[in-house]
Amino acid sequence: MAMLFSRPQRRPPLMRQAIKIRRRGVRDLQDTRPPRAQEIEPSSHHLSPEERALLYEEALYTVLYRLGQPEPNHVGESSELLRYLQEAFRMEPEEHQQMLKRVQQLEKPVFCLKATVKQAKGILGKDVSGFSDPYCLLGIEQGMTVSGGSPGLRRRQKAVVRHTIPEEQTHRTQVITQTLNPVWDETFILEFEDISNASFHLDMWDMDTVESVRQKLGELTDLHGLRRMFKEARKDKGQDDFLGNVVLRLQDLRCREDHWYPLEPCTDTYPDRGQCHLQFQFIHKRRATKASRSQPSYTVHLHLLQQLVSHEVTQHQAGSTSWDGSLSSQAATILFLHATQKDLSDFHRSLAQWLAYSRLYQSLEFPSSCLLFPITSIEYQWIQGRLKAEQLEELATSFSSLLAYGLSLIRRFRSVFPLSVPDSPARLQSLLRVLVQMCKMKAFGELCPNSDPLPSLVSEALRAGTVGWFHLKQQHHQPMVQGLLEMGKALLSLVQDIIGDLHQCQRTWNKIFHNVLKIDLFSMAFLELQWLVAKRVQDHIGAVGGSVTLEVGESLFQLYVSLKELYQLGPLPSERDGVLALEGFHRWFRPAIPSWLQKTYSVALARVQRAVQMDQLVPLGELTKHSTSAVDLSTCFAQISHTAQQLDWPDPEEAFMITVKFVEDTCRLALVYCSLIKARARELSAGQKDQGQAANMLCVVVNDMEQLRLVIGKLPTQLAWEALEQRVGPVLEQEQLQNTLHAQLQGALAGLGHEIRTGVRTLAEQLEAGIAKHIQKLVGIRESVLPEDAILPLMKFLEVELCYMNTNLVQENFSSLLSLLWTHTLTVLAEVAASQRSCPRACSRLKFALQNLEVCFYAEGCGLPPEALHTATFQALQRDLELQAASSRELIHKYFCSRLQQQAATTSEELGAVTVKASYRPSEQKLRVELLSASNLLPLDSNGSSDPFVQLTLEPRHEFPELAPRETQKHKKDLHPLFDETFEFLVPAEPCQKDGACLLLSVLDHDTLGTDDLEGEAFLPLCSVPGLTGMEEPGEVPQTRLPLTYPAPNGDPILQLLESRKGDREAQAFVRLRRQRAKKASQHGPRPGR
Amino acid sequence: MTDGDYDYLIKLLALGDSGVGKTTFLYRYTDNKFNPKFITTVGIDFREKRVAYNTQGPNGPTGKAFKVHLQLWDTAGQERFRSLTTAFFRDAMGFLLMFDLTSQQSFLNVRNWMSQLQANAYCENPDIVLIGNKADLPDQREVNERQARDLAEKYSIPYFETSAATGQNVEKAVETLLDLIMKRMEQCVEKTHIPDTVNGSSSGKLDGEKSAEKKCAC
Repeated sequence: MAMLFSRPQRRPPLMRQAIKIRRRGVRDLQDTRPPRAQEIEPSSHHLSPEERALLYEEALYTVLYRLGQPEPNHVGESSELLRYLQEAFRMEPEEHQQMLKRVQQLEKPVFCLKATVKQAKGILGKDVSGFSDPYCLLGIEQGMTVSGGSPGLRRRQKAVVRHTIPEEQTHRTQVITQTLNPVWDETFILEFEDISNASFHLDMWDMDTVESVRQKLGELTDLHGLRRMFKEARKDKGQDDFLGNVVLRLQDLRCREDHWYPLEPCTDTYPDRGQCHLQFQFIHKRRATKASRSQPSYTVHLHLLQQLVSHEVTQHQAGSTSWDGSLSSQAATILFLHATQKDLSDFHRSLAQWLAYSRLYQSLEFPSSCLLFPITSIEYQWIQGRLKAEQLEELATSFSSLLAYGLSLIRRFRSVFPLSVPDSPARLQSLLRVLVQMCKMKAFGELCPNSDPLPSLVSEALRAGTVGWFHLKQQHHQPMVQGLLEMGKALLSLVQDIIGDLHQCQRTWNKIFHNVLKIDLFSMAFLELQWLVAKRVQDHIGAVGGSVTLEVGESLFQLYVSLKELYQLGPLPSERDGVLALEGFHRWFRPAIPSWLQKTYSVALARVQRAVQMDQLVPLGELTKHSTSAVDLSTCFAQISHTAQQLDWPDPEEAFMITVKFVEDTCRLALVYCSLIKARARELSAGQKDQGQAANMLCVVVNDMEQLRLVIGKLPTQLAWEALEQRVGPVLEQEQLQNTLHAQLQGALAGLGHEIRTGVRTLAEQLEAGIAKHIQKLVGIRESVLPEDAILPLMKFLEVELCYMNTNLVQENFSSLLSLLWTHTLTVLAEVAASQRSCPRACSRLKFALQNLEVCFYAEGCGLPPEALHTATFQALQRDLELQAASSRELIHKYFCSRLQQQAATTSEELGAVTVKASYRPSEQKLRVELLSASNLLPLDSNGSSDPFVQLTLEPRHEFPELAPRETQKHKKDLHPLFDETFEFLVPAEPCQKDGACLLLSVLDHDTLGTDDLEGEAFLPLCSVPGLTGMEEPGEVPQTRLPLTYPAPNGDPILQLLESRKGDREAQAFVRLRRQRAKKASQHGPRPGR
Repeated sequence: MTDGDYDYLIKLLALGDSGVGKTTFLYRYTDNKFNPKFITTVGIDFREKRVAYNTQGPNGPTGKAFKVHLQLWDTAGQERFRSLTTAFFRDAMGFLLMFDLTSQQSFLNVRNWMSQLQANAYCENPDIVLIGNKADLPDQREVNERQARDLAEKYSIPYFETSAATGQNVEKAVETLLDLIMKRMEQCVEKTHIPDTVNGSSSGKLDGEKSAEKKCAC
């Protein structure tokens, strides 16, 4: 700088007349030359080489003739700024040097200090009124040697302006009357030569004019004022009072200053003289650069700004970072210096910024905050009159250009702001903010009065953009080949794209447009797109016509499902006004339904066939006893129900028909599967010799069918019958639902059940043969073999087979298999037992087998439950075998047991009764029987009476072989004989305590001519005789009255059994005896009713 | 009523204009009752009946009786269900094509129904009987027997004049159709031994017993 100023300069003629500018008069400063057309509307920030050179010259000039101390964040070094400029303008070093040289040769500008006297506060009151009438004198004192802080300065400060500065360089403010806080707000341009020895001086004076004393007295308010008045009167007339001054060295000032300065006293009196608010700015006049001479200041500034900003942005782009909107300190310094030197107002600076940024924004990416700042600034300072027509036009153009640009982005927002780029939503949002702020500006309203409101512009752009996007997508999907299938595919892709787009609109974009502009993008896009797509779908279905092939049907199904998704995206019917074009779209697809159903069925059928073909009929695992095809089948049915869900036909009655069809198809598939899986089992077992393998497969088939039954049992849930029934309830008879859904399913389940039962029966039959064979063998085994050993083969067979079935069948079918086998086993046993009637040994084996089989089928609770085991057949057989297995003596025992039971059960004395007392003395081994009487005997003789006597025997005979029968006296013609006879039997206690051991009292009628008649029999169980129960000696022996009984007239089963044992003499003798008794009894027979 | 214990599962389907009496015809057949009230069938309905069928050799009945489970599908005659109704044609083995003897229009529409059948049934010439219903209303008659017989002959299908109200010819018509189907199936079985349920066309014979025998002869 020093070098610059040391060069000899031709001083331009100073303006002798002080130029006083009011703030509003800024435009007067502007160059009045009409700007060239190109300046009004520079098309872009790219400059021609000439323009660039001019701008470079301007920038260099700005740096070279920099004045004032640097701002805190600014760059102080000029060399650094020059280097930056060289870079920013992409100047070659030689070029740069050349230019620098040329600029240095240019004439230096006229340096000026633009000083604004804003106001003062707390000044002295010099008038009698207590106020002052202050005004300021100001100017620049030139030619002082620089000696910062020297006593000289202090001295000079005290000098008043009118003494130190030539009058023509002194400026004066207006007088503000009667105030201590005057406001001037007056601006002065003060020229100076050399900043290093120039200083700013300002004096503030109280204006004194000649006034009458009376006037003053009139204003007199207090005594203090009066004293001042006298003092004033002493002074020279017109001598103004000094209020204070401000003296500043220019080289201490920064480029711009805005401060309150204390008013200094001339002498030491009144040190506190208040403060004065001053603003300073170093400006240039008559800049020698071509640009400054030929173009409006702010146009030049604008170009410089554009140049530097685009440099900054491209710098960032090169470093692959995005520009955050803040300028580098070099650029900031240069722009600040330029604006200050050219004395651009804030407003014009903002304007330049706006123009530059709004233009750059259309070609470079940077944060919109750069635009918001000048918008706010212009808005605050907007007064239309401050701009010339061309500037207004330029501004208007910048508005409409940015608006048009913004709208074009919004129109294409789907491609401009792709969601694949993370900050797209933020970028769109900031664009909208800028547009909103811009359109809110007063300037915008005044300059673009005919512009439509932004929301409607954006809405229109979005609408047009949506339609455009749709057409683009449609074009994009246009098939290469014209054909129904291809068209369908294209349409499907289009619908899916639309769904995707609407999702994005709903999730992301709507928020933004709604927050910023209250525009419901989603609804708008939905309405627009559904209309467009509805038309195309209808056209397509029209082209398909009535005959829908399976392939076309499939593509229509996909289309239907997608349209459903699209339709469901839209607002609920209650929330929208008007009817959608998509409304009732399902009706368009009606003709395709049969093909969809057909397709669903044939796909499922193919799956079933494949599943069976793949199946090796091997159980899946220990717990899962069915094979792969059953699993595949449930997947296949799940697929059908999935299709039904996708279809979800809106019309209830048609939905009903569709469901019925699905049910029909499913039931049909189930039956098809049954026949296929059985065929598969045949096919697989055909080549195998192993019977076990075949049985194994049959088990798996049965289990598969069982599993299938479970699966189709779930149809009502899978096809949502309940919901359907609620929907069609109002239009359908309950019976119809019952018929078409429930009865149909029940029929299929019953069919399956039948299949399963058939399978189980087949398995059972296979085992039955084995069981029968083993049971037959039982009776043929040599007698020496123990029953335990004899039944071993049978039990082993059953154990193996049942264990096998249990492993391979599910519980339910295993149980029904057991049930079948049990019935069969009992039948076989009964048959064999019948053929072995006379062979107790064989029967005892059979009996033993039955016991073991029962245990085996019960299987500790895992097999058949007791109620299923203990059938009537079982019980009869058990009884039968029990008898048949017994020896003849055992049977005789049993016979007496049953007679004893009969005796105990008889209460009626229609045959009469006997009264006995019996006791046993263990010590003597004597049974003592006192036969007291008989009574109410039947008259058996023709004379109407009887000749009774009683025969006493201990039965069964074989237990008491030593003891002969005993008899009483025979009484004549006495139906109530009193015998009162005592008999003693010498017997050990042991045989008496056996089951069936008894004293048989046979009451007989003595016939001299023939055999005796039987009055009746009475049985006294020996086990009840005192002395035989307990082992103590009997005391008082009670009487026992026993009603008489007859032997059963028609064939006691025990006697029959004994009779059938022809070779057994003891049995035969016993039977003969009993038959005789029976014969005796039957001669007169019982007389019921007596 | 269904126990799944049957030899054949046969699906029949009644079709024809709305109001010709399909529902009452089937009701008469399954329950032997008549409901004079006209209730439009909504969509589709379904009835079942178990019958015995005696196979017929060349010299009259051979005596072998099969248990046949009949599924009778009752369709809506209304136009609005037309396209969905055709979906049910595919699985039916025989058709009761009905018109109303008292409605010329319903008779004229028989041709349309025939072409629907030919397009949608399991084959080009499925088993069909033509049925002129409401024979109990002679004074309202619009279709004379000659006309109807000519048409039936043209299609080579049997023709019956029936009355659901009196039961006239109702069983006979169904039995005739069943006979046609059983004969066709016998031929099918003779020709091919592939289970015909697989190709999705006709019989639903449950051959459980046979297969079980084959597998487990031990």
